[in-house]
Amino acid sequence: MGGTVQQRSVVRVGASLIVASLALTACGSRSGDGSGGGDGGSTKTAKIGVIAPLSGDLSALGLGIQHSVELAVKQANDSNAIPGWKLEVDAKDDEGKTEPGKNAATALASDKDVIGVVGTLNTSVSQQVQPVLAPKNIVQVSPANTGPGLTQGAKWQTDPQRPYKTYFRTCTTDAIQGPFAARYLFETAKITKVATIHDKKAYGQGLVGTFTEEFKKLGGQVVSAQTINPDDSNYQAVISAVKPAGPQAVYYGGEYPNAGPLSQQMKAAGLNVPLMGGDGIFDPKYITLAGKTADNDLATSVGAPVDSLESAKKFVADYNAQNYKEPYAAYGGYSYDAANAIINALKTSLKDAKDVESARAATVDALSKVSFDGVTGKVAFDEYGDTTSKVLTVYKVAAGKWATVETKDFESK
Amino acid sequence: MDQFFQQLVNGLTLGSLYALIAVGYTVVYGIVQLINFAHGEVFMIGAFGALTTYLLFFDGQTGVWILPIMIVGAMIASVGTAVLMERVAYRPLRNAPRLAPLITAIGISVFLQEFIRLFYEEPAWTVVVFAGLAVFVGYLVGGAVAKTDLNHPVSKWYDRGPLLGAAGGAVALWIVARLVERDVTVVLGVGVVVVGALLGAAIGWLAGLAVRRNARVQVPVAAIVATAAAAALVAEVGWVLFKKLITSVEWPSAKLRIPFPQIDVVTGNALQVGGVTIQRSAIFTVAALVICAGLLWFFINRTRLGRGMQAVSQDPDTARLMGINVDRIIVVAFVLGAVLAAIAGVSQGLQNTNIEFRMGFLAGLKAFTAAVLGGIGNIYGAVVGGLVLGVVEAMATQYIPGQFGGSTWKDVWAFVILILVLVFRPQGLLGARVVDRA
Repeated sequence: MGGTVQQRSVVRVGASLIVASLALTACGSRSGDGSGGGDGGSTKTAKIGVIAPLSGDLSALGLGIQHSVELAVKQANDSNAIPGWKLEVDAKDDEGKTEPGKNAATALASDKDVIGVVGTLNTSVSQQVQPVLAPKNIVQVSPANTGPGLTQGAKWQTDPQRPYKTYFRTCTTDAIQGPFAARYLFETAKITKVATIHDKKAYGQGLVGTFTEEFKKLGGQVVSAQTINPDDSNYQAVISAVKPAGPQAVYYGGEYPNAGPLSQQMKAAGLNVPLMGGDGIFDPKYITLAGKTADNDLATSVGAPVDSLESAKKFVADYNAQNYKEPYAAYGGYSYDAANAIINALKTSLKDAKDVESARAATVDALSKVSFDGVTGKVAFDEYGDTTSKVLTVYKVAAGKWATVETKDFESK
Repeated sequence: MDQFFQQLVNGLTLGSLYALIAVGYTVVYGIVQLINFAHGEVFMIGAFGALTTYLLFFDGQTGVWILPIMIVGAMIASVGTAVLMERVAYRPLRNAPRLAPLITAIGISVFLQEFIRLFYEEPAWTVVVFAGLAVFVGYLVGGAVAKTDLNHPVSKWYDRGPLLGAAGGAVALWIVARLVERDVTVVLGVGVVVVGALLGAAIGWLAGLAVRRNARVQVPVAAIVATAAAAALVAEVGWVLFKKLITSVEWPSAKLRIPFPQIDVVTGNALQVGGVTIQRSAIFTVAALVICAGLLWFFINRTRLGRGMQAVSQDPDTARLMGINVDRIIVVAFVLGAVLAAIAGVSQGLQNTNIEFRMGFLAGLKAFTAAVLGGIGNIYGAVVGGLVLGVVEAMATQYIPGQFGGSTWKDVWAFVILILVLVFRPQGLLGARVVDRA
């Protein structure tokens, strides 16, 4: 009997300790409040949603997107860009996964104040978000989706058709990014044998697909094509399968949480060739994860390097002045441009509107006609909602940092 | 042929890791018939313990002598988690239906994952741990000085009241003092300890007066003073550690993958044997398994505690009648599993060069499969099962081509094996058929 008394007391003490510790630590946790603020009563409120991974592996990219949008909205409010209206940011976390992304979109779509959404990061998430936002005429501008199908339909290579007229993006697509990498490797780096690895997500698969096609067309040889699981962190088996084929480089379709360790393990296993990837690995975190042996690894990213453009210097300075905890990361400039594209469209569509819902359709039209000089270059959209800018850049890891190799305007051949 | 040996090496490395974790499932199951699904998280916390040790004391260094200290840190974290888990979540449910501890195990597993995810980068929560530790140590010291058996069957809260009051009072004063003045100075530190001891003793004494009518035993004043002093001292030491050591480190966020430290000798360029590449971390992992298996054999067959474990696993009730402290044996089983899981955590960190809060889940599931494959409850079975599973995974990646091949399907084959074993040889490879047990 004594045993039971003692056990109960332990449970009680344990439970109260847990409750106490949770309560105490909760005090220390930050509240991630974006840009709430009371409006003066006469001004009306329109919300710009953000759907991005704010937690999880890709949160470094997602938080950069959120803060860049917050910056754009803050500047628009400060300069009273849309008279009579006040803009707010409503950021939702998609964890980089489709289900939470869909939920976030549903929550935003049911809010009658939401006029537009910036996001998502992942192509696969956008595939779920598009059909939720489109029926409500809420514009979506992605700073980072590179899957060609999002704007040109599943048969984008042969019969391009725009599935959702509410969807736009400020970055170029894998249809350009993959071939761009292929041309760099074959023509500039003189590499003829590559192995490809991707993580089976829409982004990675698409990138490797367009890369392979172009690389073969140029006369190169893909000696091994492998896949990994995005949840894996040990790639020995794959590396052992790739190594005997003797590739001169590995082209990886996926994001930095897998690419970093993959690069490190490749080199530890004696496969001393550069790993090349798309914008998904172009992040400082990649170098942290890939370690000292990451030198000479390559990445392509959309647009010109943000800190080299004159137009971007102001953005970088403004961003740093806001003291956000996280850096603007790979997509900051594109998110800032995406938010500004929406704000520019709102200048026309909200001017005489009495509420947000009635202005939504006009916003879609206005957005397709937007044209201004943004952080990343000219911001304008073609008939599919893709950006008209086709500038890409190759980066290389040198001495623990991403360094620019070449920036080029992609020409179709 | 090189490919075959290469995948064999990969498989044995992976298998060694599974085996190290699988032993934890198997020893606990062998003693209490409980499948501790939170064991994967013990492994994950081991890796984080090693990383914490590294960040606290050796940030930026790469000498191989760091490795043993990291392993000790990993073991402390893992063993602490496992023992606490056993005490808080499993012991109260010892006589409950089988399903209850199983559900608790899954709950604990999720709790530990989220705990690491949310609080790893928040050094402030360690203060709460130190406060709890201070009360606990104070209570233990007081109990030892008082020389009364507070775990006696007729003991009530009243009997513990004075000691808990004294420890709680001392820690409460410490909390107030630290809310007012956070800096660490020698004078203030000593002052807080002395005043805390006095005030705690006074509160404990008052608590003793209040409960006098109902108490079974009177706790002597000396014990109350000792309790308060110990609690105040531990709290203050904890605070100094926190201010001087813990806040000086920049903690990485566990929401992302965290790079694991690279240590000389065990990481770095791979060795080339013919056409086969052998990573240094792989040698470490396999060597760790061999050494651990040897020590485990010695412990179980040649020590009193190990023989006690064997006795309890055969018949806990009779073992109890023979004078074996069954509760202690169960704790030993959890400790044993946690120690091996900690070593596995370090090995995985070195191999994959990164760790994350989710790493325990799939590894735990695979190790569980390995334990069942070898015959759950059988320690050598767990080792064999782990190795077999690792080799099968590596070979499947290499030799099953086409649509169903490649590394994509490697997890599928592991669980296909589990199902086949359960259907055709439920007792596992090395398990003996036992009639009265599942």
